[in-house]
Amino acid sequence: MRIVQLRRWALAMMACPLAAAAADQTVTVTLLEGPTTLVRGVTRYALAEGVRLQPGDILEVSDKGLAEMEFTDGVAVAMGPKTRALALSVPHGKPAPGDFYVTQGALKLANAKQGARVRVVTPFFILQAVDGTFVLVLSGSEGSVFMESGEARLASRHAKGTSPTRLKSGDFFTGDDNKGNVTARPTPAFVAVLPKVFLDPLPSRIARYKDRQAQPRRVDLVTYAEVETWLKAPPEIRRPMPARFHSRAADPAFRAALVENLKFHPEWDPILFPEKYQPKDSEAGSGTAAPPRPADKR
Amino acid sequence: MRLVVKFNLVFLLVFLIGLATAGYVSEQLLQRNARDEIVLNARLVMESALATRAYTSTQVGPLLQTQMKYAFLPQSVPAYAATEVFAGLRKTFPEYAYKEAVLNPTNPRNRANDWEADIVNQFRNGLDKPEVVGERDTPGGKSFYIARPMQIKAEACLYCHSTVDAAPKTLVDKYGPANGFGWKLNEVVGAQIVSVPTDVPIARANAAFKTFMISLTVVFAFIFVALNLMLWFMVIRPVTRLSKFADAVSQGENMDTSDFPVTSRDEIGVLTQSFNRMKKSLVQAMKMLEG
Repeated sequence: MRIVQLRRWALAMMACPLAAAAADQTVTVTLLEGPTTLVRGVTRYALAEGVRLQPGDILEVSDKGLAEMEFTDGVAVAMGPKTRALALSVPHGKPAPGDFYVTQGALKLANAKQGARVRVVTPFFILQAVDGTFVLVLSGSEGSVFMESGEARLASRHAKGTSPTRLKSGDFFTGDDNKGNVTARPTPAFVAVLPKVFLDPLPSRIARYKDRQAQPRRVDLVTYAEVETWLKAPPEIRRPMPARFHSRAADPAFRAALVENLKFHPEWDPILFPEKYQPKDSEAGSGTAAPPRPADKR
Repeated sequence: MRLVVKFNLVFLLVFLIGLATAGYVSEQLLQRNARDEIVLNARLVMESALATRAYTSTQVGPLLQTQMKYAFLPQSVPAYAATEVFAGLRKTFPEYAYKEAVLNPTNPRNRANDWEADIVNQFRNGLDKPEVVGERDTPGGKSFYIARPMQIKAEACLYCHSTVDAAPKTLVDKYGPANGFGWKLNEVVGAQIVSVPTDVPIARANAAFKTFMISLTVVFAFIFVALNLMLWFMVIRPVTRLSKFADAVSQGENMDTSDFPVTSRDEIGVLTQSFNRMKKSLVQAMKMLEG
């Protein structure tokens, strides 16, 4: 018995450094050029270097801006001008995969190592870095990926069960799904739209913010237009939005926009018209409740 | 023949001999100096090209490795950098030509032609000289050249020149997989060659020679005039006057006049004094005869 207790104690001691290290896992904004908007909760902020990302953070880089964030394990993610991304999941004091939903713009993910848990979800495909570095550019109708080094897997968002496409160093993929066109070189058009900084290794500045954390500057509560993209995102992406922006439905302008665009996010119907979902008195008396009349579902 | 004519004839003879000698010696010297200057400048061109290559391959190239995955950047190529720098130098030294002649180049533009290949092979076959200097005939005349071996001494050079698989894909896209690969460390792959038309040093030497000879002739002419004037005023004119006076005394004139004025203390003055003594002696002798 005593030996078992000792063994358990030894295992706990061994796990402590790992636990401590895991608790330190964060994603920190380490480089900003130009303004970048951060939407956290229902509030819009001006992002600053040193800010640690939280799950649910929405980032929108300005027209000529650049934002780079670094994971504590060395992975770096840079977003180019006009890039819009939602941090579906990021490590924030505890281990978690890094999942970003990107709707537009250019993104470079660098220094992924074997076992890295970082994914980029786009309207067209899901990109999982195995190791190395890739660059992603999203246009209106398709996405392009260049494997600068290493390997990645590209899975379909629409055709479940299909095998992912493997991209190796030097491959250039273009398509609106995971079965697009793979060539051996990036096209000049692709290179031309990349921010110049993407053509070089991303700088690492995490050491500056290792023991220093900044807070973003509060600007205002979000309007509907500022979060419209996310409210109208694919269902699996926008699922948490009603709970998140519920309080904004009290704003008349926000509510009016929600109502006007209800067909794009019908899950808001119970929040906007709760009375439709209240049990009727007659049905309450008879013991049966009339089912709510849901809005059109997409 | 008058004294001044004799003097000028001798002077001209000496002048011509001196001018010819000085001309011959100076021409040889100037030709050699012009050639040496050309060689020195050519070496400077080569050293600057080597320095540019080293800087590009060790400092610039590594910084551009990631960018080269996206697009080929000729600025990362040492030969391109050296050629571009030389193009700038050529604005000041238009008569120089520079080529990095390589037996197996990446860019076909740099492939060694026949005579260049001969030079490269000399270095490859163990020629124990740091450089080769020579002249060759060209359609435009004789050409002077200096060549130095290009030897692979840095591993960084092999990044683009070892195997097709190791080279940047964008470089292979641009130049193909058949050129500029298979190089090895310490191998002599080509030669730096600086060429100058031989007319250039000859023209420089001739220009300097012409200037020198004209200057020498002007100096000689000045000396000629100065010597003639000196001869006239210091010798010819006083001797001529003394000669006229002596001539008059010999004809019985000027016997009672004062002595010929002594105006200098040099040989002419001594001659004048001697003449005056002789005149006095003559006058006394004539008086004794009459007396």
